Amino acid sequence: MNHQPFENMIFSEEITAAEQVELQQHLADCETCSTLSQSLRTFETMVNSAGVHQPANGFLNRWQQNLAERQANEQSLMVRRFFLFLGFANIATFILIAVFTLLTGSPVKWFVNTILQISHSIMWINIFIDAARTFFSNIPLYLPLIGLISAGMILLVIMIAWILMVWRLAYQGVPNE
Amino acid sequence: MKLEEQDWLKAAIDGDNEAFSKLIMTYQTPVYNLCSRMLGNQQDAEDAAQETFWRAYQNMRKYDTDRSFITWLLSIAAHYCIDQQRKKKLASVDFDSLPEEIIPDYSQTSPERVLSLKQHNARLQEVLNRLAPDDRAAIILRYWYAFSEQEIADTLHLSISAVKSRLFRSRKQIAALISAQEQSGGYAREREYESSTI
Repeated sequence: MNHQPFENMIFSEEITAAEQVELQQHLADCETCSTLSQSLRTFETMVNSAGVHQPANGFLNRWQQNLAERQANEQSLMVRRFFLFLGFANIATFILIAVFTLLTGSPVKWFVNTILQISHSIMWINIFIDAARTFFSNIPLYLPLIGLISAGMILLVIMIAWILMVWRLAYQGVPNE
Repeated sequence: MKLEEQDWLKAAIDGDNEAFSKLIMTYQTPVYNLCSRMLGNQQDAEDAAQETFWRAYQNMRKYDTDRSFITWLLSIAAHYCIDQQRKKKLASVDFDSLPEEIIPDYSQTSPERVLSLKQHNARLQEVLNRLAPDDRAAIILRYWYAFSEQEIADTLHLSISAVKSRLFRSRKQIAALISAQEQSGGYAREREYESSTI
């Protein structure tokens, strides 16, 4: 006996009334198909009486806790990536400059130029120190003190602002909105 | 979808965390039930449901409001569970790890009855676990959520003919599995249970 068409009728949801009658007649005679049909009905009965699984109490609280942790992790990751990028960018720039310098001149010339640059720099620093000494010896005594205090305070404010910014980025992050 | 749910949805898309929390309260059970039926384990189901809402939260701006929200959520959950299933094979069902049911209410039943229901549920899960993850998702959406073939296709990102083919193949496999278990005597008590509930 060919069971295939009847198997199709049993397991398909699209079955006409005529096919339904034909199937019932076949099931009455065929034990194999009858068993399959009965097994499928058993499964459907099991599903109907099985109910719905529900999460343990406090699902929302756990989600909110997870959300806070995930957001904090994402922010930290973002900051780490930013600083890592800065580090790599610095290293890449340094390597590029070194390669460019080595390619555009001989190492000896590069060494001599470096020494000359350092000598010039020292010379200019000495000139600047002499000029500063002359300037400070000709102005009233209280002016350098006020200048130093003002510069110190400005630097302090800038430093505090920078520390606060880094702290906020690291621990609080930037809101999505 | 109720009017207030539509309001929560709009607010959640605009970044309102409180509205999103209300959506979680509304949809936590269907999402968890799908994950639980797919994974067959309480802890994995909890993790999968949490992950589903996290992914939904991250992608709220991409959500198409013309689409059903529950279909979208279940789509995220189903795909996540299918991925998890592909990563690891399911271990045999542990009776004690099975999640609690809403229906039937165990508090109203005798200990023997509770045991019988748990066994009944474990056997059902055992049958589901034997199906391929994609087929299992289609069967769960069809039988637990009464989704149409079109809705299943939308949820699992399949064509309707693929859904029909999966459902057909799964039903055939389920019938064969149940027949085999009945022949080995595993379903004798199941039959008793069915006759006692009818």
